[in-house]
Amino acid sequence: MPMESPQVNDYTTENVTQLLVELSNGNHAVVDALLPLIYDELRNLAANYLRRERRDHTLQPTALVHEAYLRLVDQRSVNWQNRAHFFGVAAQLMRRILVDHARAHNAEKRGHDFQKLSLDENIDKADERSAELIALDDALKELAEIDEQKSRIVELRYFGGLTVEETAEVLGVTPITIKRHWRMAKAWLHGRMQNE
Amino acid sequence: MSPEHWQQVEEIFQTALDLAPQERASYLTRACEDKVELRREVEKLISQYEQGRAC
Repeated sequence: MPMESPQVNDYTTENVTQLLVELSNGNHAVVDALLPLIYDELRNLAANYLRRERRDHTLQPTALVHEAYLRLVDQRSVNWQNRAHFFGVAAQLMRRILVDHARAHNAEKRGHDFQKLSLDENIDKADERSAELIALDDALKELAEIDEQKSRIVELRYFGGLTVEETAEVLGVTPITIKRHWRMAKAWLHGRMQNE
Repeated sequence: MSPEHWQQVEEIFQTALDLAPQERASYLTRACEDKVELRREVEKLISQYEQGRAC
């Protein structure tokens, strides 16, 4: 995958790495500078990935975020906390990319439904995944209105693939707190998604 | 759902999950008193949590 994408220049890598270290040191203002740099890279990787796959492709969020991380960050200058913050920023962007993609898939499907003559298992699976993603996104928006931190925790863990410890680092709370929020959020989401 | 209500549901949910399963029913009776709707809500969340763990 890295061979086919244009190379990120050294200046960008240096810049992202520096911003990441600042973010880990508590300077949250740098997120605004970091977001567009990571977003462009993630979107390019996602677009590349989708072009080369069959039409029933699935985007693998954690693989793409990891790829972007390797391309944008100078591995020699960072520690696990810096890495967690990168994944933290990337998680919300990945959510947007995946959900946009799912909504586009649904819109396209509605346009072509009349041509669908045979049952294709792969297409049905892609439909199912899109519907699930959109339902999850809607439920997370609803959860954010009641309890924003829980919504963010689900976003970090689900779309960024962060561990409990990494999520704790990003949000500045203890792993035990994350585990408690997580179990409540999961229970609530489970019920919310069943009612869809 | 109001933030106060959500907080109340969560407190009871978290405490109940920290208890052994056989102790939960008597705890819920104490914590929810005569609020049938509150108890139903917490019990539903607990069962959703258990279902989520199973899959």
